[in-house]
Amino acid sequence: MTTQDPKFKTDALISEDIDAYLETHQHKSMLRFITCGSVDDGKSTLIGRLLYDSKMIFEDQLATLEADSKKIGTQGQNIDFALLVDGLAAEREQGITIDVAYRFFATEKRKFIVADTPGHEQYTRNMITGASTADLAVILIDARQGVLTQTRRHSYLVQLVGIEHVVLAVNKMDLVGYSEDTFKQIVADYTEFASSIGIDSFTAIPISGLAGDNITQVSKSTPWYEGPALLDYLENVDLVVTRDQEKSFRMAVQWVNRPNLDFRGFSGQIATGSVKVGDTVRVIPSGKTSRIARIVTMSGDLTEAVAGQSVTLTLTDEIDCSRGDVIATAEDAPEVADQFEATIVWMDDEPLLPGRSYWLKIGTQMVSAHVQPPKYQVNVNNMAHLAAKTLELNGIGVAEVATDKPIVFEPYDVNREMGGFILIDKITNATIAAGMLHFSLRRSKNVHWQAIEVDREAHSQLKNQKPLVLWFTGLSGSGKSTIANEVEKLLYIMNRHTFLLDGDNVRHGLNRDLGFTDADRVENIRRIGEVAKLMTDAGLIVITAFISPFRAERQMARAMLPEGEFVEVFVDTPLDVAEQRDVKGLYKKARAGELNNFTGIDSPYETPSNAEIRINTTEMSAKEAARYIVDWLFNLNDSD
Amino acid sequence: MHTDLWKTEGLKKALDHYGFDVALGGARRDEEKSRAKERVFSFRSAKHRWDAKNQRPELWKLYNAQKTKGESIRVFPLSNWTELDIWQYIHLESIEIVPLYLAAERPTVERDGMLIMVDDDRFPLQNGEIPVQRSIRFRTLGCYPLTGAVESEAATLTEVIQEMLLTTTSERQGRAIDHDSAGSMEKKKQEGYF
Amino acid sequence: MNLTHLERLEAESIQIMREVVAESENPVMLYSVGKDSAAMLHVARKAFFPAPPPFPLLHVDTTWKFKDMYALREKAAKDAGMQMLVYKNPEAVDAH
Repeated sequence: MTTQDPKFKTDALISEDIDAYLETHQHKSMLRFITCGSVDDGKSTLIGRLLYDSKMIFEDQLATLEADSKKIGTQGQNIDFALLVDGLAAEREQGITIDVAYRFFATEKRKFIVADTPGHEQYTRNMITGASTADLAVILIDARQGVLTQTRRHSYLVQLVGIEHVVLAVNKMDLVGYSEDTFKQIVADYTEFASSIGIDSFTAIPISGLAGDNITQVSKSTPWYEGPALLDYLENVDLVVTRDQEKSFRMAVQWVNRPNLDFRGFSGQIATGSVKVGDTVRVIPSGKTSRIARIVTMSGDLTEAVAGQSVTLTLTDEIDCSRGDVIATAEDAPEVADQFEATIVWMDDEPLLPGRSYWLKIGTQMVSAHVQPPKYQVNVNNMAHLAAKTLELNGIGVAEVATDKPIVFEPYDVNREMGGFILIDKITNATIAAGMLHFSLRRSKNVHWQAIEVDREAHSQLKNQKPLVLWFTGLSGSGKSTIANEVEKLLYIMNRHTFLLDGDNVRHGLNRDLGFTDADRVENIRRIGEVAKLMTDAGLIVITAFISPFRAERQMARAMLPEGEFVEVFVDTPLDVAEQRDVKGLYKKARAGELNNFTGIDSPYETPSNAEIRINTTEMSAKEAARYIVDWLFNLNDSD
Repeated sequence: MHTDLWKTEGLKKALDHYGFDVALGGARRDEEKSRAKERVFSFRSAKHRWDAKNQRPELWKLYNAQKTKGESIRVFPLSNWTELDIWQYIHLESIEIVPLYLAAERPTVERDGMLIMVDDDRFPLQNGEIPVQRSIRFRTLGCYPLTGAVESEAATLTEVIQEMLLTTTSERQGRAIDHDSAGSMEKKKQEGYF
Repeated sequence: MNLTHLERLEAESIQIMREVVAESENPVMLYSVGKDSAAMLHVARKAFFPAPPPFPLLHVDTTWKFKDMYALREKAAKDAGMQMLVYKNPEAVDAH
């Protein structure tokens, strides 16, 4: 590893003519690639070699590396290149790669960013992170092992993310005597598998990271191999960003630049295509058209800009345009829709909850969205489709996604930037999933806006929710109001429109004239039922928290509402527990005879027999109960 | 001691003092091993801690900027630049930099194997130390009792780049903070160092 | 049209900075007066041109910086049309 390869910077040129060197270096292009493969396939050694040969490792770093290799390395007295790339303490201790590491090197033609991605299934989310920005994937195979489960899984993920170029690097050729037959057999095996998952073409290269065969130069040890060395291939392969320039123009508006009243510019990075001053463009979703007046940059106006550039555009007309809008070629603008089929990669410890409202971020748009139960999950080790009700950490499946308002998009395989999205949990703010849109299920652009009847259905549609009544019943002190409050908070966070009816806002107003006789109790419940019904007509989710001791009245309230819109929640707290809590001191008073007709003491509580949800407050906290209820609500279709 | 108090505590206090929720920083992934693993949008707890093993996935150009009150995000827009990229960009765009990056005759003393520039009377000379004029420049600029200079004749930007390309030691060797063992930067970052 | 690696890096950095401005309430740019800060500030000026970058600069000042650095700090902020906040940690000043 001491002689310098001519592909890398030449010290001679640098010393003699630094200006000439800089001139060439300034015109380099940039390629991003990932390396993946099983644990012992030699990824780190390969990267270490590329870094070393391009002089990205300095003498002092090499000294540290040598010392560390002897101390904690796994290669005996040899240099353990894994120590170069595994940067986290936990990684060095466990000898595995947990998170993706980015490394940089350059040749005379290109700058390279290599993402070294973890191989273990449990770190799939980190591999996807590295893969999502890559132009190319180097899939390493140990020549002695051939195609393994890990190889198949990584290849599937590479195909899923849509990485355009795949290199099959058959490594450790030195350990199989540079056997052409071994190489050919592995390539044949892989070809069969690759075409089954949609990888139509790949480039296979026999290499040895350790011995340096076919890495920077074609090796004499493999005379039967006629293709390029790995680095040759990396230097010459087409760039995705260049290909994107051929497509139709699209730019998502990131920020409106308005320094004064005379200037209104739309800033963004061009996703695909190119744009010229004078071009007619359409702003989506509004559909308004205008022409490009200027392409503004600090170094002076441009006449044309292409995919990959960050620019600020001004238009000839004053039309509405803000963050989230997409400026596109007028004659070929992207679609707008609110229901899609998508592939989803789940990346959170907490599984997908179908129906729950998450943030969906796509391009510069962020909307509320929910996911239907998956159509199927993919077994990433053998690509089999499995039935699934949810997706757990690292699970990959296909499901329908609905957004609360139409979004501008393109299928992922047409346009990565306009078809790739992430889901964010509204409570924890974690990035919980990545998705790739396939197609829209219903085109919003075909929805005709006719004069519509403002009825129950319309109210509910506007609020994007199914109205219902969550009817809490239980003894005094059972925890109804506390749980009801928590439920309302959760629903609020999830963008649901709710209203809570309880003793505080009903007893003192609407039902001020009622006492606690059996007759008054019945009238109390009837009125609450009627109010709740009106509120569901307005499209609200109504939460009621009253003792409502009698089965018949609860049945009456149930009957006022359409089937499925009355959800009875029995807060099942045993009398002795409720009495022990006695938050308001009412049980004490009732026992002392100071309160008459007190439920549970001298007035009966009729335990529900058909409550949809039963909460045992001795087993869960109010917050847990609330979460349980909300989860139940959004799993209405679940059979169990 | 000096660095910890300033860089870590000072920064945390400053961010809290002004209530900044997102701080842009110039760190690069090629600087150090734990930085090579860090996201562009790097989430910090209310106590400014970095949870290295549990970073948010970061796909495509979709950055998750969601957080609750008290939490913050450090953003590194230059994550994918290398030191050479920075220098070339400065050269191409004619960006003004501190003249100390370029070699010139400056008063220096040698202490603990480092060349220290005598900038002004805030720097007390030790017994027997007499400042000597040397042609020096700085590869990095920290706080001056900590940052060593290198002897150099590179008085222009292209000469600096030339020297950098031909050098065989890593950029940050002049900085005392990085002389610690592997993993120390990760620890500092967990505690809130930028 | 082939973008050079520096053009791509710059475009990506600009995209990141604009996302920050669009999605945060109170952003700031750390400024250390070093070469990386100089490059970052320059990219920021390009990202928001013709407006000045819509956030202040923050220098956590150890009071132990070189004189040349203090001079450039003031000039850089003025040239960019940005506010330069200087924060000195009271505890650390005492500790010196």
